[in-house]
Amino acid sequence: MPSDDITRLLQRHHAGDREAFDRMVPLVYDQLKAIAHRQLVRDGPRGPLLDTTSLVQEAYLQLVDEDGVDWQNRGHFFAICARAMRRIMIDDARRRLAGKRGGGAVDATLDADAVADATEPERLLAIDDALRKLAAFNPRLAQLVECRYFAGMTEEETAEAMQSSLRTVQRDWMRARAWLLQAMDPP
Amino acid sequence: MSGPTATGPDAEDPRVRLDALFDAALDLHDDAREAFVCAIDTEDAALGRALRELLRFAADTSEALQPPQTGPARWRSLFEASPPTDDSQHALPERIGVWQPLRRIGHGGMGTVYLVERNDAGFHQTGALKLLRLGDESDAFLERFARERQILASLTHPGIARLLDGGRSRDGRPYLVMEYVEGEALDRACDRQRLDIDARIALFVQIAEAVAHAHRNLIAHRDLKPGNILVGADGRPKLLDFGIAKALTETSSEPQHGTQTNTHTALRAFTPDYATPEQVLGQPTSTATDLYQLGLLLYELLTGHRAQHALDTSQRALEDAICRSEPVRPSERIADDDSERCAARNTTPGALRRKLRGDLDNIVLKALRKAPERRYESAIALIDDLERWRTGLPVRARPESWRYRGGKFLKRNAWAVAAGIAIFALLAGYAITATLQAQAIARERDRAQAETEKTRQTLALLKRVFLLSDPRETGGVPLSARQALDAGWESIQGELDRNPEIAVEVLAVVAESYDRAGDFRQARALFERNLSTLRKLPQPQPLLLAGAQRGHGRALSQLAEYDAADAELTAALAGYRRLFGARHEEVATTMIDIAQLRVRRGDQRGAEAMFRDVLAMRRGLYGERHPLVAEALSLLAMTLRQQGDYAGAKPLLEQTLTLRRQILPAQHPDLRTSLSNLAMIRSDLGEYDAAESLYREALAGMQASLGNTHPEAAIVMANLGRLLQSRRDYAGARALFEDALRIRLAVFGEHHPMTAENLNDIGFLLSENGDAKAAERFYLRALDAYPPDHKGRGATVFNLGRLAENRSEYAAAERRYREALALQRRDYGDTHDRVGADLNRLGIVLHRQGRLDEAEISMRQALAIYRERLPAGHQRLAVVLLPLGELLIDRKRHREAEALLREAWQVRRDALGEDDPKTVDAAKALARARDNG
Repeated sequence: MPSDDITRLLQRHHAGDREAFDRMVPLVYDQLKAIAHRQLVRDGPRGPLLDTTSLVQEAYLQLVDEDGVDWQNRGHFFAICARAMRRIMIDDARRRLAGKRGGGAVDATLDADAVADATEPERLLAIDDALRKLAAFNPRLAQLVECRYFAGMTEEETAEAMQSSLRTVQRDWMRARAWLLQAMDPP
Repeated sequence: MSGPTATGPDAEDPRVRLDALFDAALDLHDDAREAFVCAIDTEDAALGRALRELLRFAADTSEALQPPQTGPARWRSLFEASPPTDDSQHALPERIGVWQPLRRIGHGGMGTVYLVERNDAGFHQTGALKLLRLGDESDAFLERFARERQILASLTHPGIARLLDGGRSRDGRPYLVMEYVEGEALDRACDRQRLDIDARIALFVQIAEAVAHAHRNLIAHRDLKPGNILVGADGRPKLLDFGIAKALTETSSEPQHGTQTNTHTALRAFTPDYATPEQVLGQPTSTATDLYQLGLLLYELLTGHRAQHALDTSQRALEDAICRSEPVRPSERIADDDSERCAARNTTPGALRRKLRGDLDNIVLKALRKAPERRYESAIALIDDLERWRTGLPVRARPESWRYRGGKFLKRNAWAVAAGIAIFALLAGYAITATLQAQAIARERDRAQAETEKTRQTLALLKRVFLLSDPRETGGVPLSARQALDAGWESIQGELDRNPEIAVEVLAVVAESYDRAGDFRQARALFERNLSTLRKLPQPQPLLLAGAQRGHGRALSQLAEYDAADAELTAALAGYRRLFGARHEEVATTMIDIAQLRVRRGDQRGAEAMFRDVLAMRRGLYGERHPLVAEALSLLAMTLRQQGDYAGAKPLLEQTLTLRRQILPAQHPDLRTSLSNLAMIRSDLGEYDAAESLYREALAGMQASLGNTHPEAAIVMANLGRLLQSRRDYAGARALFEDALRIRLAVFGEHHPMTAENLNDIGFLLSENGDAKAAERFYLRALDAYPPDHKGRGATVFNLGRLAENRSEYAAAERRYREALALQRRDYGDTHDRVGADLNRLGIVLHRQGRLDEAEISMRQALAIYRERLPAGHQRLAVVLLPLGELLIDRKRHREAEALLREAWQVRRDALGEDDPKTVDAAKALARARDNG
């Protein structure tokens, strides 16, 4: 069962193995995609929507054996999900951008939010790029952006994922935001 | 996209510091913030501008960076299967071994790479599977691979991608499965992030460390190149394909001896531009091959050009390019129109040439020597040389020349990395002292002129001591500053006997140099010699005498000869008072020496009184805004802290920090000391958020100016680690403790109080994290590492008591607690909060053993100490209130118990919230007292 593996990796991560984080990301990536995909297939395009929070909760239930980990690991898991969500969104943005440039098959179902999103791939990639720069000198701030922006977590969820106080999250979000805006500001 | 805005051509990555300043500025209210930014503006206008820009963005309340919409179409796009335009999907092979390919992630000369997963027998794993394009050779390869596999699989290092599996696919092609690494090729990652030379070298050192690890396990890579090294999102490099080249090229278990035919096998497992001379010539490869390839890598990282380029892959072209041509020096490779390469390195062609010229040229070229035995002897030696370059020490790769030594020597002193090296400052200081002396003693004009002549001669002699760095005089052997001091001192001793008047001047400076270098025995001997010479002079020299007495006293104090030290320092103080009156800097400085002696002897109150006098005197002499006033404030505050008076220390340290921010440059070491002292106090007081950001600012400043391996950084790392631990960030804390331990083992060795304290910290972390066995090992190792009478021992003994208590071995725990109590009463006094903690735990284990009277006495004493030490309502009071309340329940004194437990519950609720498990524990105990009462 995959849950053994994630549980074990979470424990290792918790014990200080930094590598474990990176090894969990692709596993979580796949699982998040699989859950959402099943949901879409089962309920069809008009079915009820899953938001990121419930998606992450679902993944947690499926992947983690709760008897094997304590509450702090839930936070770590959120942080890993946030990284995976970032990858999912960035991979998707690249694909959409390639579709646009290459004149490949364009999704014909243009509903309202798809139109609103017309410039989003570039923007996402720009944010991703700025985030890499931020991670180079302050990885904690970058992780916070993954939680707040890419995984759409609330401040409380982010605090749990970052294992820090709500006040720190609010303040660091202001800091991170400023760095990103600065990095994306045309010179 | 704009790069960092505050970068000059040669600047270090400014963002770490900018981030710390930004963080600090956010703490301030409007006016204070403006003043803060203005202060930075005057120091560095570009930095000030960048800071203002960040603050403007921080105030931006627009919708920018709102999380993207997640409507139905977005979800479909995100989570439906990849669209069919992605042609890699078509090419996916069936299952290979136990591995299911998910997508193709790359292909090259050796074959195709897939992202794969396995999902069998309760095992889920992802990996990168390399399916080799290999025909006839595959049997031989598999045989070699089977041999190598055990060794390769044992190679575990965070910088090396692990080998997971290997075998043969159904259609007969061999495959390897490695740990899947997401990242960007080294060269691209560096360019895209515009890493400057220092950052690139830091990254390169991480790569070399991974290679060194493999070499220790007797594994060479043999195909190092930018494409085989990925940089992850965390900025750490990871090496792929370790040891694979060997499995691909060797055809038998015997090492290959160089024959031309060997290189003409169907498969060359090297990439021409990254091949080594021995590979081209078919000679045996070894770890030296990796060193050459590390040289190629470093060359390319620094210059953006390849070190060697073969015109084609013919043997002749390869031999020309790789075995015969000498590479162009990296600095000479940078052309004026290389502006794009330079921009990717955050610099300009001129600045880059200057940076590379000399040491870095020599280091790269030493790695790239044709003959393997003439290269660096190991990856560690290469790392060491880069580390020397980074810290401004003479590198080993450098052909010695006197200009080089002089230049290095000066640069090192400019940084004043080690106190023992700050010799030029002493020389400059000497001229001032001599002038003062002329004023104080010689009232007549000709006498003053004689002094001037004496000063000239003295300086000439001193220069010979300190400037003896010309290798022509030292036999071409580079000297460390300390060796230069020894040799210089040796060379002038004969001349001193002839002229005692000059000898006393020179001795004073040389003795102080030894004192600063930490050789207190040599300093003591020289000060003693100086004192006896002074006493024999026909003219009394009161100023020199007081100086020698003070120096002698300091050395004695360091050597723990406290009574003798006290006598010398008191005599020096009297001497200075006679010369300058009661209020003078020399008087203040000597009083600080006396106060520090008192601290060492454990007389904190006596030290406190003296520091208060110094503070008052300096305020009178200099006004408020002066570095010496800041120093006095800080010393006073730290004495208060040592007495446990946190609330008294905090405002003083805040004052110190504000003052130093106003008057010192941002990189000044005193500023970092202030930050970390204040962080410590705020953490003592439970103000963890504030403490963490102060520590991080201190650490960022330190890493920017001292690098990651300085013992001062280890102190801050350990303190921050403790803080993270108290916030239950065990992983973060452990990483910091281990980094600090590495530094300390390297700098101090195993048997040193700093190492011991670090071991104790790790033990404590492990025990909090539930690993009692490992914790005990670390504690015992710490006790072994401490000197016999060190005051840190008590804490470790206490911790061993906690472990015994947790195992329910109460008698053993009682013994440990009693020992800790005796030690800490001796070391800290009867009312220190550590003593309170000892008494409290002792009470608890006495209670467990049914000795209720003794337990109550012990806990009541503990409570009295806690109440004295902590502000009213502090949550740590509950640590005593709770067990004492429970004891009183057992003694059927429910009303008393209820009062204490209510207080325990209240302080926890206020600090931690109603639902915190600790608050709930207190609530339960309170309910028990009520139910029974």
